[in-house]
Amino acid sequence: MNCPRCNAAVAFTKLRCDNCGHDLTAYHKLVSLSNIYYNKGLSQAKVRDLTGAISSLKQSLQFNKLNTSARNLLGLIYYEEGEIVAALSEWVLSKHFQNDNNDADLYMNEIQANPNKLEMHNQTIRKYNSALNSAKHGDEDMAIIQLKKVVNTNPKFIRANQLLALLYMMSGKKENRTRALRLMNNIIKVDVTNTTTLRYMKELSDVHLKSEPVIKVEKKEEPRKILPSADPDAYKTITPYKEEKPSVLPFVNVLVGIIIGLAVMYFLVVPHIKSGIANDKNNNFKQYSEEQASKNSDNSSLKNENVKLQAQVDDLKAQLDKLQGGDGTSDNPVDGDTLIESYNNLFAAVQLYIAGKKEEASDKIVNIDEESLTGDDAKKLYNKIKSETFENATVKYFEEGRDAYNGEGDYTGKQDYDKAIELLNLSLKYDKNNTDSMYFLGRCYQKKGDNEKAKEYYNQIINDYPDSQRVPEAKAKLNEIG
Amino acid sequence: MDFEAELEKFQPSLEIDQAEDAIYGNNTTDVTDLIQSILKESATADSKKNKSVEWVKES
Repeated sequence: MNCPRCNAAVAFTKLRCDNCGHDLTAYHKLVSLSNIYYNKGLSQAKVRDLTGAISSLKQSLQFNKLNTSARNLLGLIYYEEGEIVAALSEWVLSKHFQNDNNDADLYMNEIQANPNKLEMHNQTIRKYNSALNSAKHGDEDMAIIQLKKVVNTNPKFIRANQLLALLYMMSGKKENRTRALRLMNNIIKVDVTNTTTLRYMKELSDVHLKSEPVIKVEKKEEPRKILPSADPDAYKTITPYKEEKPSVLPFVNVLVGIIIGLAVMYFLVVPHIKSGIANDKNNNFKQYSEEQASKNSDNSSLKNENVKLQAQVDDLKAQLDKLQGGDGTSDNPVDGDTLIESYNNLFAAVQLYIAGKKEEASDKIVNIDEESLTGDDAKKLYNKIKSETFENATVKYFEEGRDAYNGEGDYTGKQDYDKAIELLNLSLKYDKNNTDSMYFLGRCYQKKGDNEKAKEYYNQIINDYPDSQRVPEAKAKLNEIG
Repeated sequence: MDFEAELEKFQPSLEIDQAEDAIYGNNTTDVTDLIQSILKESATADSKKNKSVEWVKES
């Protein structure tokens, strides 16, 4: 303790200054009062009654401005509430009054050691001031945005929290009131007796947070009366009939079961069925292939038998041909009737030729199939009679045909082209190289208007008999036809 | 609650630039100072009283 007059150090128990003799009784009481308030403030600060602590410490300093402990503690409380400038002011004053051995040095050095933190605090103060200005000028939304940032940066800044809560309450929205209550719940933990906070919380008493436990008023249960034991079924209440409400869960279970069943069917049963079907088809295919192979072998054996039978038939036909006078190798063997007829005609022709009837003999000869004559003598006889009778016969029929064409002789005045064609064909039968008959056949057909047929005969003369006298005439007629 | 009145209660917070003004503007006068001041005034008054007595002409 120092003497307030001469500032000399004086023992706390002395009631008078040893240096100047000043009466220290009143001063002693003032220092004691200051210490009492400091102790009170310290006790309040320990239980986070910061508002009460500030009040007590201010009173302590009013009694004794040199109470460094009280001033330092006041600065710490300001710092805790986010009022950094007020805290620094107290510590600077504390340093001013007690330069040595002062804890304020420690506090200020800690703040100055981290300039970023100091700048951050300064920024939050500026934003708070700006938000307050916006709010007072009616721009609550901007103020809320800025205060949100301030509260996020320094959650213990009590004035910022209170202002933000007030703006939330002013909006009147239910969710904003809930936010305000949440803010108040946070800062009441910093300063439990802040009157502003408590007033706001009272204003928000109708708001309930979800996390808040609902306080139930427990009723005291009356002591149970014990009844005599009885059959439990005897006192069962008769409940009215109620239909159970349909539940979706069983249907969902059934649906899930069906889906699982289908999946099992698809992944396990269906492949098994498919493999069974494939095996059946393979077996059927094998069986069919075996049957086909056996049928093919039967078919080849039948073909062999057919070849053998055909050979037998050919053998028998050859034998028949030999019996009929052939050499057994002819592809077109003459049947028995032709053979007999040919020989009968040959015999008749011989008889007529001997009797001098050459024309009748030629008629018989022309009906003989030369191929059917097997014997050399018969063929010689056939050729002799043929050579002596056919020349006359072909000339005779040609002349009759030409008369029929020209309307002369027996056909005078009555041209008959059809008859001429018949006679000229007979002429060619006896001599197929008779170009005269060919020429007049062409003429007959030309007269009848069948130019195509006529061209055939003219071309035959020109192409097959180029030395014939009828060639110039045939060419002239072809030119005539065009 | 009168929200506008509540809003008016809020005062700007001092920024670090304003710390010097806050320190100098801080009223650090305590009761001891008041007593000292009273005692000093009292002593001054006594001395004036004595002086005035001195100035009174003795007859």
